[in-house]
Amino acid sequence: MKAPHDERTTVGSWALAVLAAVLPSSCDRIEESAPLPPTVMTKSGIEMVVIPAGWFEMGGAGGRDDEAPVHRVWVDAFLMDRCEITQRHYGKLVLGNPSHFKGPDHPAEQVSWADAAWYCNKRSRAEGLQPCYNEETAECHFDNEGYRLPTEAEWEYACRAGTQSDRHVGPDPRRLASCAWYKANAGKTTRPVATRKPNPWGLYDTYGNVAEWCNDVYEKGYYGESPARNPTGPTDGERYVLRGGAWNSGPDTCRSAFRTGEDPGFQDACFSRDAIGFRCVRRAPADGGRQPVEKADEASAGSAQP
Amino acid sequence: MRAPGAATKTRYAPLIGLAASALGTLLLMATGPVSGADATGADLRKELKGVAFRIVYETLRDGNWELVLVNADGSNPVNLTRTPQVHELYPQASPDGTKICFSADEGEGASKVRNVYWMNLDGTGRTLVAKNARQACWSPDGKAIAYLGGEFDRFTYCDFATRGIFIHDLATGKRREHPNNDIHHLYNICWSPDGKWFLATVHAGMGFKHAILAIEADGLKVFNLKIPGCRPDVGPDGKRVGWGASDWTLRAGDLDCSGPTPTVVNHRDLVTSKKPIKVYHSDWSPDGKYMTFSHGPSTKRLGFAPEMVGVPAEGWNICVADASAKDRWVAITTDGACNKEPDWVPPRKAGP
Repeated sequence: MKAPHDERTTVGSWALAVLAAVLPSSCDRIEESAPLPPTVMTKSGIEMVVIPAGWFEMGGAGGRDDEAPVHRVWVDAFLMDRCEITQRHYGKLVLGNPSHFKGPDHPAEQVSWADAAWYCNKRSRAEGLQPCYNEETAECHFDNEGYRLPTEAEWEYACRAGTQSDRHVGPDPRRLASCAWYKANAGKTTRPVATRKPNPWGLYDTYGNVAEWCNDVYEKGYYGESPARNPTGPTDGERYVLRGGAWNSGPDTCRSAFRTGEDPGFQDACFSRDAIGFRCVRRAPADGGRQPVEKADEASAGSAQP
Repeated sequence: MRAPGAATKTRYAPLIGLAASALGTLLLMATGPVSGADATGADLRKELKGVAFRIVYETLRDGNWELVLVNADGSNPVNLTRTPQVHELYPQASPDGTKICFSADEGEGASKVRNVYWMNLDGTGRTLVAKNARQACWSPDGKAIAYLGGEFDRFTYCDFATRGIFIHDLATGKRREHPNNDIHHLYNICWSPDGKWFLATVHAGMGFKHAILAIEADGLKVFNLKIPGCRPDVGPDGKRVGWGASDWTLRAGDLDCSGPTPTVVNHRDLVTSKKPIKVYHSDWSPDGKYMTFSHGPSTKRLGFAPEMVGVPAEGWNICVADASAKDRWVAITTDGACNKEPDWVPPRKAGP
């Protein structure tokens, strides 16, 4: 895989992006009090958060073996969907709603990794962007300007939003219910996106609702060998990374560092895992997200310095 | 029309146009045997020479889907369609062995649509059954054709994008809809020999995540058979069902619809495979002794799965298994030309 690019996007390609404040979406239901990174509204009508570049501590010291070692990682700036892809947005590009728990504002689920990557390409084409995925090989071209799934590092960096504890709401699992639909409160179903509190950078449902596909192949020992800058995962493997836990997950799964792997379901017509969905990312504009944002809390690991 | 659809045409054209047959053959040689691990392929092939039934299947020839009829051992292939403007798919033979109903992808771009037809076994007498319809099957008496309505006006290869079961009466040409108006997201319906049940797969519909269902043919009751996988086919005696338990396993079980809740017990694997070779589309022979199925490689490609109707599946072939044994099977096609969806054709019954 090619390394993620850092600064080729032109300002012109963002001409149609409008600040979320101008075009409110379903993601605006809960009012945040902390300063947030800027957001943009894409041509597809999906709100994205401009995630600033920065360093962070990836992994969990007290977690499972595959979360160790905690290591310092740099992530270039990127844009990430503020919400998990909903059935409303999925249905605009894909005929046939595969989701078990129906609702236009519920996250799309029963979506394989391959389906999610295909959606990314469809969304790119719909907006006139160069798709990232080679559809014959599933290879991701990070230099392309279109949509793709987040790398595992991007996902964890965005989820942490400058925090360093188990969860962005703090280590106490009792606080999870404020920001997540999970086993204790979801009622054995997904819930409409953006109906719990967002993380400090304004991203909703990073824990719970549906577990989210990442672009990376899952490998238990990858952290021992991953590069420090923009890691993109092992080159090959049977399973792909899932992050964040889902409506049926316990609090241990709903942690920033928790990682697991799942069969990507290449050309699996019967993919039926109703706790799996996704959100998309894409390259940041050349003039956006270059400056690291203020630390979100005292324990922040976000830093402009390597 | 030379390719299954505008988008797909673009993606698959290089493979379809130049390399389908050659690549398919290479894939077959590289990735899969032509007989089951425990089979003596030559013995089973010899046995099949004496079988009176034939098999019809969909195949991609020079960028166009056709229906081909072969003997049970794969000999004497006959192209029944030869229609470069239309893609014929998903053939189902009538119980008396005189007719075939099938899906046909017609048109291009925004006007592309999947319709259902029937025709005589020699390819003559093509008759439209319904527009924007798919995955038809015959009533046990051969007097009606059941099919699934398309969920969308726009074309899609998505197999579960269906709404409603409709029954077309061949004598009158009239159509009636199944009384259960909640039916949606079904695929691969089959009609039980006693006419009382439809079996089908449901995906993300009717309150189910994914399941194989028994649906009353004339009533409202729907039962989850609680067997994993998809694409059920009821045996000729109505007491057995075969299905794909996974991408890699074809399974059979004893079907009992006599009680208040239909059940499937005594599950047994008939054909097993290993990644990346998939096994799909099982169909019982009219005497219940054999099962035909399709067999071919999966890939890392994005997009619709090769087992879906009308989706190119390079390297896939038609096989026949001994339904009384495990992994005793033989491939009866070897060109890998996207050969899928086989259906047994009974001997033609003498008329009155």
